[in-house]
Amino acid sequence: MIKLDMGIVYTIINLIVLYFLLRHFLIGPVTQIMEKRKQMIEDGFQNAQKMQDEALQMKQEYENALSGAKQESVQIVENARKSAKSEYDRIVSEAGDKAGSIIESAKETVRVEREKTMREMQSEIAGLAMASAKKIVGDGAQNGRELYDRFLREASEKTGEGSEDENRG
Amino acid sequence: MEALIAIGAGVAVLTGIGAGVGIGIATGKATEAIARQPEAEGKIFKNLILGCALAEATAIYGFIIGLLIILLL
Amino acid sequence: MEWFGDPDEVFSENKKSQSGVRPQACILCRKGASPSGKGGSNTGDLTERLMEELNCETVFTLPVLGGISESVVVTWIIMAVLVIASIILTRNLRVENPGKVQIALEAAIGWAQDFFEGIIGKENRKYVPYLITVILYLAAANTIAPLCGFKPPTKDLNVTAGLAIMSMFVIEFSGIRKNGLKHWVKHFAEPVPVVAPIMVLEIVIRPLSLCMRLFGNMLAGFVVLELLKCFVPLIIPIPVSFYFDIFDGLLQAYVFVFLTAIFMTEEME
Repeated sequence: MIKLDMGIVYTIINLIVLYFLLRHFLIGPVTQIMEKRKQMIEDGFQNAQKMQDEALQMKQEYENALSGAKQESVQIVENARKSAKSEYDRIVSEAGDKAGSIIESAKETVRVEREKTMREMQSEIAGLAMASAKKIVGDGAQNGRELYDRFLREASEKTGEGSEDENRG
Repeated sequence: MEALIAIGAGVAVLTGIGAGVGIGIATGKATEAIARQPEAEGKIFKNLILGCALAEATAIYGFIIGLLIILLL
Repeated sequence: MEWFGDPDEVFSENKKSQSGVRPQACILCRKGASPSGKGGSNTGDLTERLMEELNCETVFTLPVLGGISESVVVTWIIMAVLVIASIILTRNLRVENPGKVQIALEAAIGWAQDFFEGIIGKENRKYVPYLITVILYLAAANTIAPLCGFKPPTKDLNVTAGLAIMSMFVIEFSGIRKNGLKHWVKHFAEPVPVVAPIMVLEIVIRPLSLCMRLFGNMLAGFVVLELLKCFVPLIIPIPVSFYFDIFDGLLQAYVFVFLTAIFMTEEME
């Protein structure tokens, strides 16, 4: 049990042989496979990183283009708004002008009409006055007051009939 | 003579006392350490196993001596 | 003992059959059953019986090299099994979509590599395959008794001595390789030259301690189990065998390699 012999040498040889065998058949292949997988994963990571970078770059470009387009569109809208505003202003001022002139002409027409009416009325009144004067002279004179009243009454009737006539006409 | 051999073997096996006390202390301390720091359990356990194996070696030596006394004398 | 299958019988059947019927009964029973009646004392019988169990028989003798002991043959069997198993397991390794066996294998090897690299450092990873080899061999050798029924080779002092001598060479070689011969010679005189004898002695003491620890543990487990089998041959030895052979065997394999790695680290500093 407790004696040393050639067994030591055999054990050492066995161990060395086992070491080479296991290194060749077990540890070597497994390590190789693990290294390969590690390499593959690293490659995958690098690829993914690269792709991500590319995507980021593209996104940047898109964003740049997009912001340019946005500015342009804003400008276009601004321009359109400006031109629309000026157009609007022009139209409104034109309309205002037109309306003013219409009102002016209407006022003018009314004034002319009134003047005409006034002139006609004056000539009427003058005619009435002439007629009343003839009557006074022809009927003789009773007294001033009566005369006056009659004149006024007659004049008012006359104008009332006149106005009624006008309405009717 | 045989009685003496038996006594000698028994005395040799007394080395187990030291190993037992040592492993007991080590395990107690390790348990304390784990209770204090449960996250370090792996490291503590590794060191405990190592220490136990080293402490146990004395008992093993005693056992071998005892065996030798019985078998070879 | 029967359910483990006694390798002793297998190996030494021829010899035994010539010399007569091998006593199947245990030590205590044998005393009464012994026809010669020479078993006067318990100790004497125990001694004989144990010596019988513990001796490593010479299986066959080569013309020049001398006797090949049982442990060497068992070692060959272990080697064959390990190599064949590794060939079968690594037959179709794939980088993508690994199978379950491959995943387990990679996890085991990866764990071992990480473990040893953690001890001896990443820059000394070339020693890792040797350490893995030793731990695989020791794990197989220590647990072979309950698994296959052979006597564990590590119960033989020659095997553990051979392992320890290999460890010694690897430890010193790693130190010389890393720091150069000059530094290796000089480091005996550190920190003070007075300790030089002790440091030189340490070269021998470290493998001796490794060797005796492994041998003693396995032998102790073996003897305790043999005694137990003599007293209670049924059921009871199973859990005890699990403790002494499986648990203690794996633990001792771990400790042996762990200590070798630690000594290498010390030497490479």
